[in-house]
Amino acid sequence: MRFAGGESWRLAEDVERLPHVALFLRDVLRLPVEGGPLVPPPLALTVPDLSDRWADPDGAAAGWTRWWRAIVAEADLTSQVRDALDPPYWSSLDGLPALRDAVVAVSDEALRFSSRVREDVLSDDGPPRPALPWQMVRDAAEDVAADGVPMDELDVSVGVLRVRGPWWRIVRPGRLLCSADLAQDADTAREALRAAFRSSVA
Amino acid sequence: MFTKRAFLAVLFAAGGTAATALPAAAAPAAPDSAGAVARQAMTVQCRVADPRRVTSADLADDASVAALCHRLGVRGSGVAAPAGGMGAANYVHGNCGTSGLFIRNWNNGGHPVFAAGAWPTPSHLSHGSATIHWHNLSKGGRSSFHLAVWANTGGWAWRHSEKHFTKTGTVFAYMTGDVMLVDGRICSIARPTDTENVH
Repeated sequence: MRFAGGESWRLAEDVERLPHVALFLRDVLRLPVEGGPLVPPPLALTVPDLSDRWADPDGAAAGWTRWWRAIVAEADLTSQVRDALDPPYWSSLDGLPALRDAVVAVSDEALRFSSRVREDVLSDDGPPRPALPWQMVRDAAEDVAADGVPMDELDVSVGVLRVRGPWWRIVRPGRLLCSADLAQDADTAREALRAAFRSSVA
Repeated sequence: MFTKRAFLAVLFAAGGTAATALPAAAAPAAPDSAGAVARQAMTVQCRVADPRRVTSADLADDASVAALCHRLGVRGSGVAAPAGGMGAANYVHGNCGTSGLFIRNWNNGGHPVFAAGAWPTPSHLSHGSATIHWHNLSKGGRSSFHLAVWANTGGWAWRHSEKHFTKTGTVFAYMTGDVMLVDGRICSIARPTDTENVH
């Protein structure tokens, strides 16, 4: 919320199902995905080993990397790649058949998992549970604004992932991807937030 | 509105033929129709001259355009769709605190629960009003409902959950409104959004 009639910074957090479906697939099928700056650590939640469901992990892994880049970094804006979450056939991934078939093999479990991730941040009672505490976000915004940046230009969206450790990346200007536990490492979280706000005005 | 809409150049190419109109198929697909969209090898591009200048206020009265650009990642203070196509801004922080919106799918025939809240930080909440707007992006239905905002026990925040019939499909929602703090200051709810596949 922002005070009426004045300038304010803004930071929006989202908990998306599709990235968690992709990470679940990677982890439960033990896909040999090459690491890279955009590829997060393993999921923080315990997931089963379903690697016996799919016989072509190398083929699926190659497709997974392309899919992931499209999901998190808008590397490809075509509907075929980005509009997934279309069970049970996952036809949106027809251009990546090995990946599509792998997703189909664990689709039910992946969808249940992604629902569980969202439920974890819903609060039926008590205070809200954003990954990044308001005070920490405010301090980071004010730090960046102290360099002369107008408050209204500080506008960040954050994709929260349930992955291990205090992981974060700026995937495009104004877009931060981070682990749900990032705030537990306060110094790292502040660094990430300041970088995200700065990127939003770059 | 027209000026803002002019920022959007929507190209819809199917079989090499481009059309300027936005076809219904360009709206975010339901689980059962997304495959058909992909099989027709359609390419949808949303070109936004300056995405940060396009807000949901500009788009909200055209569900098709809102849906398309939401899906393609228009961000900023409005539709706020991150990458991934199923965009959301579940918690939105600003200098007056945090507001939040979640759509909860209960697998009960198109009756999701909209869970919303407002948590001002500098001062306690007194009262206000909010409106939740929802669009069924798959089937085209849209509506809104108003909520009275009153501080919960302890006076520090407001939280509310309410079930509505939206039909099944991909449902997008956002919340607007204003609240007054006990010290008399007024804060605007910063348009939290959510999208969920409702069954």
